[in-house]
Amino acid sequence: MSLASADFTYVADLVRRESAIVLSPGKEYLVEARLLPVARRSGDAGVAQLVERSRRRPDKATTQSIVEALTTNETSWYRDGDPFSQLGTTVFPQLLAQRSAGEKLRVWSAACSSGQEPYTIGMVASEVVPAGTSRVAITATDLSQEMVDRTRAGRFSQLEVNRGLPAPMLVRHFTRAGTEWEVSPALRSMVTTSTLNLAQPYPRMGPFDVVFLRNVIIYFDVPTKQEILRKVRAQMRPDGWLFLGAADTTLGVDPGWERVALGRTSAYRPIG
Amino acid sequence: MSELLSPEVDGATAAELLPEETVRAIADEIWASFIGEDEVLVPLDGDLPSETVSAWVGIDGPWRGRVVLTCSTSAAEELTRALLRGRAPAVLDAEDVEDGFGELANVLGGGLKALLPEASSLTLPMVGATPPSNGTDEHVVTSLWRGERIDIVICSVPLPH
Amino acid sequence: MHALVIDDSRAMRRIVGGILEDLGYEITQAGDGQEALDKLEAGFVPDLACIDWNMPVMDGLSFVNAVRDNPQWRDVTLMMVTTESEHGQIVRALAAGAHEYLIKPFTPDALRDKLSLLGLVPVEVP
Repeated sequence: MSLASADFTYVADLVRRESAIVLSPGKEYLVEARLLPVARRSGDAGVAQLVERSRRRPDKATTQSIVEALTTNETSWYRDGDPFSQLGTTVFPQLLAQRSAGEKLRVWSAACSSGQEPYTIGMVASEVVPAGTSRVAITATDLSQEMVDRTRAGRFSQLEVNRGLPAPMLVRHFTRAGTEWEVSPALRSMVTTSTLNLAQPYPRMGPFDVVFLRNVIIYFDVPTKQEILRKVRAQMRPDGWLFLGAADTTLGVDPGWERVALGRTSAYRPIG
Repeated sequence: MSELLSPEVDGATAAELLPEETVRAIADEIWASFIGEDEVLVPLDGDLPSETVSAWVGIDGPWRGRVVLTCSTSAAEELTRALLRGRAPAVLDAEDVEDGFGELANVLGGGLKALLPEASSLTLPMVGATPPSNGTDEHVVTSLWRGERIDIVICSVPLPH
Repeated sequence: MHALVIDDSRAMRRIVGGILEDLGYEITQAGDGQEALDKLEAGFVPDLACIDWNMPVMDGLSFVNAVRDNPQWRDVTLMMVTTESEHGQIVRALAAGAHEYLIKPFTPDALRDKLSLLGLVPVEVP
């Protein structure tokens, strides 16, 4: 059953209004796949009925469910590998050399999803930073309240911990909790969570030494991307580091960054 | 000679040790990864045909029990085919199905035994038309998969006298 | 690249072997730890061994111990692929010298993720 194009347009407009995320034509399959569980949960016969109901009488909860279903990403531990190994071998050591003794290192995971990214950062910190679990503070934010709650809970299913988490890290930082695995209290204590819409104004946070903004700006249009990068830079130390996703770039979007090669990956540093 | 059970399992029933919610959680993970990303076990009732096949494993530890997977022979074949994800031969023979279906019971048993209060081991999976009789302490978790009824039975297995 | 898939279940050997073949591996199978050890002793040294834990004759943990005891087989990457999922079991396997540990049930992506961690993905799959 394929999505009517008017329905797709309605959903895309709704999502753009609520989150500034752009669902371009071609993403109909994604909308269908992601909204079918939402429709089932709310008792609608199908996606068309869910959309119809939302259109006729929009309500906050339904709108929220639709937006959340379409703006969450598949995630894994140590995603893409290199940024996290570089964090451990280059970025944290450099920061340790540049900061005063005992000064907290602050990291922002700006699209934290279910928590794999902030806790991966926490694991790297605990491995390479002396007293890392108290010295490094991680702010984890996401558009979705559900994702923020999941991150705060720090519990993951067997299927989730199988995805890219080295077994030695699993046994060192997690214990079994029923059918799930739970992060250690030390790791959880490093992470503070809150919702944050990247397209809206930010509260004063940080200033951050490192920001992870991975695989999220790709969904925004160019003006919004520019705004986001500008606002992110305002929350960073002048000698801080920004990690984007493999497909993201500041090139042609914001000249205020210097791209720095780090092994097989790269990071961006504020200029001026 | 009486068996001394550990305090956590002494007197506990199969349903108390491995409640329905837990069984479904483990089974759902197996279906989502080994049967297919979009495959679900729907918690609904259905009819079992007169001819069924079962695969079971024993759990051996402070608590002794059995996990039995039962469905129609055609469902067992379909499950095996899905498990082998496109690497199944065009015609599945009895041995293929026994092996595949048995492995599902093995993974199910393995997932469940990890949740018991004390370390336990699994016996090798067995497959047949009639599983061993279950005695009085059993609990049944029924689901529909692709419209077919799939039963998971957890039962206690007392030591023979 | 060569992989040795060790499991007493033919279905599991087909599943693991199939995923590895899709990634470009050549597969050899063994039904238990002893059979696998015999192959190594006969001169077949794989890059990767995927090892079930509970098998007749010789179990996976014993196989891991035997391989790590032999300096000639130092470069064989050892990954457990098993239903054993208790924290203590994983610790035991890693302490015995297993490099990685994949819990059943798993998806093909999960197996591939583990190989990426080990630097053992021969084919670049998008």
